[in-house]
Amino acid sequence: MNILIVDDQKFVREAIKADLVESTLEYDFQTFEAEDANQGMEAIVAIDGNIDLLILDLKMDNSDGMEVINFLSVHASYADIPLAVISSSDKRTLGLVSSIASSLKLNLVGVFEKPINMDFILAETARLQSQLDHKMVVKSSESVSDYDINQLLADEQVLLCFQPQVDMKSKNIIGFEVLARMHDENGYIYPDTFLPLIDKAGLNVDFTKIIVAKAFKFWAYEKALSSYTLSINVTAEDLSCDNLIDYIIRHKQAHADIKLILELTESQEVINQASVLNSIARLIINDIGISLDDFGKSYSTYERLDTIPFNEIKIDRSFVCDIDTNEQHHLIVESTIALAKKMSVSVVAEGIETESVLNILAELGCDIAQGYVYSPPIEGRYLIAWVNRYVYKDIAANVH
Amino acid sequence: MFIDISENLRHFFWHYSAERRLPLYQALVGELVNIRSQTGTIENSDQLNTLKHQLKGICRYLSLEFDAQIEVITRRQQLQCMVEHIHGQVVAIADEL
Repeated sequence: MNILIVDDQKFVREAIKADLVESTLEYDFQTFEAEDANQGMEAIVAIDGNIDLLILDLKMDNSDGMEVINFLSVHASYADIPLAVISSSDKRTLGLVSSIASSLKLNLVGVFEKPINMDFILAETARLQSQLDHKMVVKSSESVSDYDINQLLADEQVLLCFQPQVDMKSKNIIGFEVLARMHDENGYIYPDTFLPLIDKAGLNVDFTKIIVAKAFKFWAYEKALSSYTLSINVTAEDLSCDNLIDYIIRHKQAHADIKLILELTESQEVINQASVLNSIARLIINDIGISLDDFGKSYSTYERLDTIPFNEIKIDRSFVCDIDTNEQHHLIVESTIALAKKMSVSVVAEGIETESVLNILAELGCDIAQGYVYSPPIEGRYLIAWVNRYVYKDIAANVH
Repeated sequence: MFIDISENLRHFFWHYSAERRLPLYQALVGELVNIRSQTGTIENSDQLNTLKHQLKGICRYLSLEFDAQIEVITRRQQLQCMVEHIHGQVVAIADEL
């Protein structure tokens, strides 16, 4: 029985090998070891996929198990390799990985918390092998747009603005959401004008890349901002693009001190596609927070909440802006905050324009406030000055 | 945090046959020394979290219920203390293996 162990910790590999030797099940084992995803993939190729069990750690130094899972999914000849994913991550992440592996039609033995029970895994592997049918695996397509984006999205035409997010108890700044503007000689062009054009041209992913690059560059340059979270909007379509996910992860790895949160916008059903869940898992593994934007707006909101381990939810502004006068919206916001508390995720209320709404949200236990009551989106060149004024209470004192 | 873990360590090692104990012991000590060494060069919270995750994996294998203690570590000095504590007790039982 050929067993490949992919784990960055030698001690864990040794413990698994020892467990195999001590196993009560009588197999002749030959073990292979790899200490990161690349080595693991090389080993799979080197032994021509002749593996009876692949034991794969999810979170490794400099790589993650999702890379190997993706590799298996796009190579039909390897998709049948029995896969046992192991990790010390939390149960929700393990559940997500289990969903992904199943969606990708991999031969998943299971997802197991460390320390693993080797006898159980071996028995389960034998059971699955006996009933294995060869499965068709759909190769992923590469669909990165080759459009020349220079004319539409030249750097000087895209401008980043930042809207502050404020802790409702301490009144300290938590972070900023990036909001893009384009401009020409006549002034700002707002998202409701340019986003449909970008969408129509099929340049969404390219546009997101530009936002990510510019936001990281700005945050890395302005050291005074390093303690604040940087929230960037992404769509479900963005998350379907492996190239973009790699791009975001590379930026995060190059700027590990930047606390990045991706706000997942739009109300599309594709959120539950394997590729999207896969991307979200990779982002989480790489310490990138995920926020569920526009909460309550989409019919699939609760399905998403059930599937994906979000760090925070953002209540849609349409429910927030009038909770002081709209009883129905008050009830929706109240129950959303209660649900979030039970799930131990932060709640951000956006679209707060008045002190009256702010006070009600504080009473309901909302964690973070965002809206014109604190500031409209601020152009990057004015951001440090705004932060300094806020910190010295010129602004905060007016919002109580 | 600084509880006696020697019984957990003995239980872990004695679960395996004599010839497996030494490679396991060497790998464990090597891993702890490596984490301790990397702790000294931590520059940001991501690096701290990576080492916390590695230590959590080790502790789980040793049946040490340290998840909660590791979770609340926010400074490298705290992590270093914990690693040194575990390392010290592992080394202390070397003669028994």
